[in-house]
Amino acid sequence: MSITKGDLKVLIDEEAKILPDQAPLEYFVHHNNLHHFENNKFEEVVEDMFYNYGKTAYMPLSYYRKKLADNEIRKDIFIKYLNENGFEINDPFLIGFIRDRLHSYNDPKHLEFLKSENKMYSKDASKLIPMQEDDIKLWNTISDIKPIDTFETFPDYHVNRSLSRINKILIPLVSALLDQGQAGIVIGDMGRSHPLKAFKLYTKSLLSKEALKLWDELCLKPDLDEVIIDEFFKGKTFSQVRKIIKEHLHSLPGWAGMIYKVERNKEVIPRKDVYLGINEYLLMRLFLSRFLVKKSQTEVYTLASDTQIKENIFNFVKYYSSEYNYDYLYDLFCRLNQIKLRRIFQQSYEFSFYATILSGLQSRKKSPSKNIKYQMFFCIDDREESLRRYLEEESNQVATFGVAGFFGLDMMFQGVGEQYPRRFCPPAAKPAYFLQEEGESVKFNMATIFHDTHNGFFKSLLYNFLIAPLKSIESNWHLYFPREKRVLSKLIRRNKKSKINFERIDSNEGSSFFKGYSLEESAFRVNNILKGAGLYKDFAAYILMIGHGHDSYNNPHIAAYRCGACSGANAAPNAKIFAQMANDPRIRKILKEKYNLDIPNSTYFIGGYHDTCNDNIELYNIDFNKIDSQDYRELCNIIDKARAKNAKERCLRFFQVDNNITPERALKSVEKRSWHVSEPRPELNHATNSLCIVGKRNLTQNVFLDRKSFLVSYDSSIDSDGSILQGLLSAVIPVCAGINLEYYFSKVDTENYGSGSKTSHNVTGFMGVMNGVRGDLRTGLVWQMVEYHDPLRILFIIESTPKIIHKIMEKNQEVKNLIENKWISLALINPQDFKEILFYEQGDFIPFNQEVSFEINTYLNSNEVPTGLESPIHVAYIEDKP
Amino acid sequence: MMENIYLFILFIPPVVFAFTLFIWGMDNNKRHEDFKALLCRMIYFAQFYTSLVALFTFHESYKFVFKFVSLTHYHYELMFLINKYNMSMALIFSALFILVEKLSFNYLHAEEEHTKFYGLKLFLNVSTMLFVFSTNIDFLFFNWEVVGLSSALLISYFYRRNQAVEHSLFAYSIYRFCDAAFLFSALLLFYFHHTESILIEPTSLSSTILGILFFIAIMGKSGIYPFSSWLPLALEGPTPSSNLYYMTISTHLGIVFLIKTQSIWSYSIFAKTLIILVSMINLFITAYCAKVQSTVKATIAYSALSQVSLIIIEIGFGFYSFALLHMGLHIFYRFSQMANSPSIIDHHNLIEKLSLKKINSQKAGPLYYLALQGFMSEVMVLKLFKFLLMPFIFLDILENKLFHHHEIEKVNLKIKEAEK
Repeated sequence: MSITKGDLKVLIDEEAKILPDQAPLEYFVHHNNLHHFENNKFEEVVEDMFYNYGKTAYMPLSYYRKKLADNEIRKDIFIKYLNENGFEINDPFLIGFIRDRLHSYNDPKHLEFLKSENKMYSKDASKLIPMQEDDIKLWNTISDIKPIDTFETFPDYHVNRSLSRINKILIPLVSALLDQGQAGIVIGDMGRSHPLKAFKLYTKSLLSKEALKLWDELCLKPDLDEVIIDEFFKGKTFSQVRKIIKEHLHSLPGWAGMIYKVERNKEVIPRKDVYLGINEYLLMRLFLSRFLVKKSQTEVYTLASDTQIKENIFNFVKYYSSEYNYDYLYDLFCRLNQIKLRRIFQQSYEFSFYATILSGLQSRKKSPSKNIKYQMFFCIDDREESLRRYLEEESNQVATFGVAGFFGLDMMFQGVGEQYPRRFCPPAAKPAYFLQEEGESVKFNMATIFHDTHNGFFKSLLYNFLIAPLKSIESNWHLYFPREKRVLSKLIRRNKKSKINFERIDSNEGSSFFKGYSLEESAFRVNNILKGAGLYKDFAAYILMIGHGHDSYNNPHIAAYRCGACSGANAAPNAKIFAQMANDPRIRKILKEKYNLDIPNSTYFIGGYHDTCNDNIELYNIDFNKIDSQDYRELCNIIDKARAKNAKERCLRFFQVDNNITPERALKSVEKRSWHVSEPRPELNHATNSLCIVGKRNLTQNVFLDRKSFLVSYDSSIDSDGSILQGLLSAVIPVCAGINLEYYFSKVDTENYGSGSKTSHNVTGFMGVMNGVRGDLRTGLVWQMVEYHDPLRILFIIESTPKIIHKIMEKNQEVKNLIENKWISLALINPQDFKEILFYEQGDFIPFNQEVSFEINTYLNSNEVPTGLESPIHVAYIEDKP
Repeated sequence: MMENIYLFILFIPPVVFAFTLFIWGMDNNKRHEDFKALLCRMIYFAQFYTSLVALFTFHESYKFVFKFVSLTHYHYELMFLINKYNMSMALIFSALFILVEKLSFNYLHAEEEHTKFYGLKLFLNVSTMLFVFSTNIDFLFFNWEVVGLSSALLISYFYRRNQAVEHSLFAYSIYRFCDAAFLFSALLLFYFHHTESILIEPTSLSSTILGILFFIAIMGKSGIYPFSSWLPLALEGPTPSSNLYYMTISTHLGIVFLIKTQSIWSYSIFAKTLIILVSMINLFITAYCAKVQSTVKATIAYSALSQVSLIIIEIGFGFYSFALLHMGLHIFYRFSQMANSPSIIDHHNLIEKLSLKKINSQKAGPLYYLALQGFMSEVMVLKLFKFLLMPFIFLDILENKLFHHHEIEKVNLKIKEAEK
């Protein structure tokens, strides 16, 4: 009985779910690596991935042991979790066992090492340890233990090494077919059957004549699915076919995932004539494997077996203590396999962290109200947490808000002189509007000559004598003086004056986008943002909308550092446009009449942009008739001081920077870092993100959160039915969970979920990076981004009541899945008094009680908090200033 | 006296520090890392400034002779020649090392095995300097080997990755194949002229034979077809190491060697013609390969190869000073290109998006697909190796069958017993 076309599609789609779902580098957006599985329990999914695909689920035991020793995993909480899993903690054996390196065989690092050495994972203890006579006796006794029923068996993990030859052959071809214009000569458009023709020309010298003849015949047939089934899967059962497809797609997960993504989502690439689909790719692989692979070599990694458990007992008895009954030990080792122990560690680690934060928020002092002159809107991003803190510390007249960084503008945007528009809204949103910047574009740029790598022979010869001396001087100057170089290149590259007109003038019916927003639509968006953030009265004189972005040199993953709410773009246009809209008197009139939002005439909106890498803040299109010059000077002063202090706090986490650096020097240091030729860590990005607080700023004011927290402004007093909160959460929860989980996975398994060290990456086809010139496409986050990250699932603290949250969960399936299946954790804080905290556990909200007192220090200002890599402080209080 | 001090500064500190590093071993202490980098930097700066001073103060060429072995009827003397060519080469290479040091300090400062990188870099430095100045063919061979070994080790810097180790072995086996020609030329030099010095006046026969052998020797490291495919495959290590080893020193050391031995091979028209013709073929092949590659490092690697063959052609025609100038320019040009290679996306945004440059898409023919695979050079080399190894494999099987048959059985029995 052979499979049908429908079956084939289902099988491919099922396997493709596990492939990395990352867009090309320009659209790099953080997402949950396993987001297709959110309707299953987190623990089940990650452990399943470990057993079936060899992707690590939790950190190695050594990591947790260190955290336990540093008291970051609290002992009381750890014991509680152990008890819940049915282990008696008064057993001294267990303590010794947990603390020591007994499980080194099951350590994933060890597994990785053995894999790379091409050895079998499962080895006899007798071979690894020099055996003495006593040892042999002992081993014989232990190996006589009979397995008990409770023994958990795991499927073996198969890796087919013989496919690596096919990979080597196919990678250059696939890379050339997907190239977006990087090569000097790009394969042109040759119609839909183009990849198949290309394959034939490419493999002409590798395959025999009969094989090529067969390929021609296959290409003539109209239906690819049919070809694959008839030729390769005839007479094979469903499970056999599944195994073959799994082997082939997971042999090069990065490329396969990219092909799958691009085939379904054409808007992420500029070239529209890319016809390589997953079926074509599978056909090529199957064809090559028939003609090139003579012997299939499959290696089996056994993850946990009877022998291994006996090895552990052997080691334990030999090196630690021989007082225990072997049967008892066997039972214990069976129950406490490495994954289970690591799961317990992970859960207790997370809960220890949550308990610190929650009790910190609970016992916080309230701060007095202020006389506000500047209201500043930032992105909810965790990197803005510290800047907002410093701004408020700097002056009593500043209040800050957090909203999603695209400011509600669901648009495609095209800058001056750009060839194609780009998405400036979250990846989940469907942009319906198209805005264009008008102005004079740059005609000539030195970079066209300096940075041209398409050197053929003649051009290269010419360049070598004319440009090379200049280029060497330029790039070496850049190597030694990055800051000065940046200043100069900014001067040269400066765009001429440009203008954005947001208003829709003509109704264009033909195109798929509206060209601009109507006044009504603009008013709707302004109202949404302001009311959503809880700003409906007491408007200050100046309201700043500050988008954020990132600019650094020599960094292929640049989009990952930029605003995630803008799909990896710099959010400057969004801030500019929003400020224009809110300043428009016609829109203010509509706001007043229709939405009951009365913005006084004296209030002036300013658009701005914060570069999170060099901590530079720009303000755009300031009309000096509307802003008092003294106020402007004051504002600039506040911003300058705050950003310097922010830079200092960031510097404490970098190596090679003195901890006693002054804020001014810190600012210079981060500027230098951002434009450095050889700096793999221009910024640590979202590293250490692990919190999201949805509520009034009062809740977190004067609390030091160590750049860990996403801060979303929300006022529950104007939202009795939870409709505003629903709108917020349906965007905020998936986005923050996506960022956090991608960091979690990339940290836990940098090789499989992440993309390894950045130092050896090679950009290919403007699509992605790979190791060397013939490697798999590396997706996920680079090691330099997640190095300092603590793999904690994010905790949402929401100012709301269980009733409203239950209602929202009923309405939004995605949010419900994430919460119920423990991909994220949730705590509610009572909006009345900010004291009572409810923690979500197993479908219910349980009051959070502070069982052990936490010592939380108070500091004079944030710069005095001793942060850094050595001794992280998760939460601290900052004193109020009069 | 002056020249002794010059050579001392060039050779001794890197050797001493390289061995110190290897005794020191791997450690990830931050303070030590800064210290190591500082010392390296000082060594390279010292080399650079002394070379600069020497270039302007030494007006004639000097010979420094070091009596290595002295028996009654046999003397072995190591001789170093200091002349304008050699000093300017030393200047170029030491400047390059300073730049690479600056580049790699930030790049690799938190990598697990940066000590390995520093140590290998020092070995490379000293062997390059010795290669530049020495005139004994066997000593040249020794340094040539150290360069090859350290670059092969650097390819497999991430040795946990299968692919890196495979490509490292591939590159190293190409080096070894071409080194055989080098070694053979050393033997023949002694056979023809009873000396190991390359400063001789050759006969027409020895000139031709040695010239051909020298050219085969440099074909591996300079990536002349069919050995061109190792260079792009070797770009597995961190960017600074790729930059230093494969873009600059490894590929250009062949040029240094040809300039040094010009007095031998330039007598032979045949050798000259061969060098020019083969390099000419390589020039066009690699230039087209560079056009076709879709990854940035491979593009730079192939275009570097085409320039290298152009420089070799210049040498073939006898423009030695010009070739030296070209080499210096080329080294720094490729260095900066490779150092800036990750920023290609940034430049893409700047250039292509601003419609200053269009994508060059063409209908791809068979030549395109051939170039995508580097004109099958990898396959050809592998076939060549297989062919060369055939007698050994055969002998191995035969030997096992004839002589070690019983011993193997004994070992098998022992293993079985141990398993029981």
